[in-house]
Amino acid sequence: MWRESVSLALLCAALPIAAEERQELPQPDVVPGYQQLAPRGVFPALVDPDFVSAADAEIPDDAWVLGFASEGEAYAYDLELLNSHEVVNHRLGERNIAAVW
Amino acid sequence: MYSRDVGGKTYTFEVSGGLLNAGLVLQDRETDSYWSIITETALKGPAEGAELDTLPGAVKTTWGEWRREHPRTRVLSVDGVEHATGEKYQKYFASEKGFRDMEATDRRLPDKESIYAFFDGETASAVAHRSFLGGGAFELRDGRQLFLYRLDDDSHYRSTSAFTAPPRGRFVRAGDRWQLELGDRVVAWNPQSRAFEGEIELQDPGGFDTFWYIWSLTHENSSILGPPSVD
Repeated sequence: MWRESVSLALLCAALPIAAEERQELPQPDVVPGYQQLAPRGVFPALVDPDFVSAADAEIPDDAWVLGFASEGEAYAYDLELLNSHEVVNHRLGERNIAAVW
Repeated sequence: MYSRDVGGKTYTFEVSGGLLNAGLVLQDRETDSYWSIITETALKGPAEGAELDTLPGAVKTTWGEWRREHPRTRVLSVDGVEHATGEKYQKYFASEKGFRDMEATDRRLPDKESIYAFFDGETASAVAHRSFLGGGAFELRDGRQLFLYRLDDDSHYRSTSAFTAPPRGRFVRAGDRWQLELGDRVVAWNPQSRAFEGEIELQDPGGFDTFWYIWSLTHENSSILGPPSVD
């Protein structure tokens, strides 16, 4: 069964950095509308992290997850866990993928 | 969910620490280019102009529902932990104001109207969530239909269910139930699994859920679909 849509996160975190520090951040010339609000990598991205089986995972049934199913494989990422990292870089079969919240 | 293989290169992404019109901007570690997940392109740097490849097959749902559908799923584990608590976005979701009081210049919808955003061909398009509570069918520019489904009490965290009909397929409401009519064949909508039953593959329109002010600031003159077509 083919299932549901791709969806991106609703965004705009309360970035963990004080207002006075924010004012001192250099503003790179990216495109109009871009605002540097915190240092790069403020949420450390994960690269090739560990995954466990469903039986070994300790998650409440009502917790929200980002689920991804492709090429006969399925992965789940707890959304509150993703909050601290925002990006998970890993491989699925022959593909390199990124889960972004 | 994105492919990290773009134009023959493999990228490793992290947050840039910045936002474009309140939408997340990533940077890659290989070239330091900036990538917007709202425009789905590299904005600046050696990769400028490259397009992010959004992968179908991702959904936001509860762990209980995901595990029932995918019992062999693998689960992200960080330092031996698979679940965290915090809900740091709840205050933002509940507020009528945009991030740091950011406002849409296009006032056709309220700033914090929750929408399903997608490209109808080349046309940036938005559908307010309230337009398709309990399901809604919308006409696309190529003559096909789009089916969107949410419930009124759905969490902000839950993805909109979205499907594009095959040519000549029609999404039809029959009483309080939905079905997809494909010539003589009728496929029922299962509101529990939020999918059409049977061995049918429907195209993912490739959209996502966001707020009007974020989408409209990045996509001026976005089309707004609705109300749903009635069969």
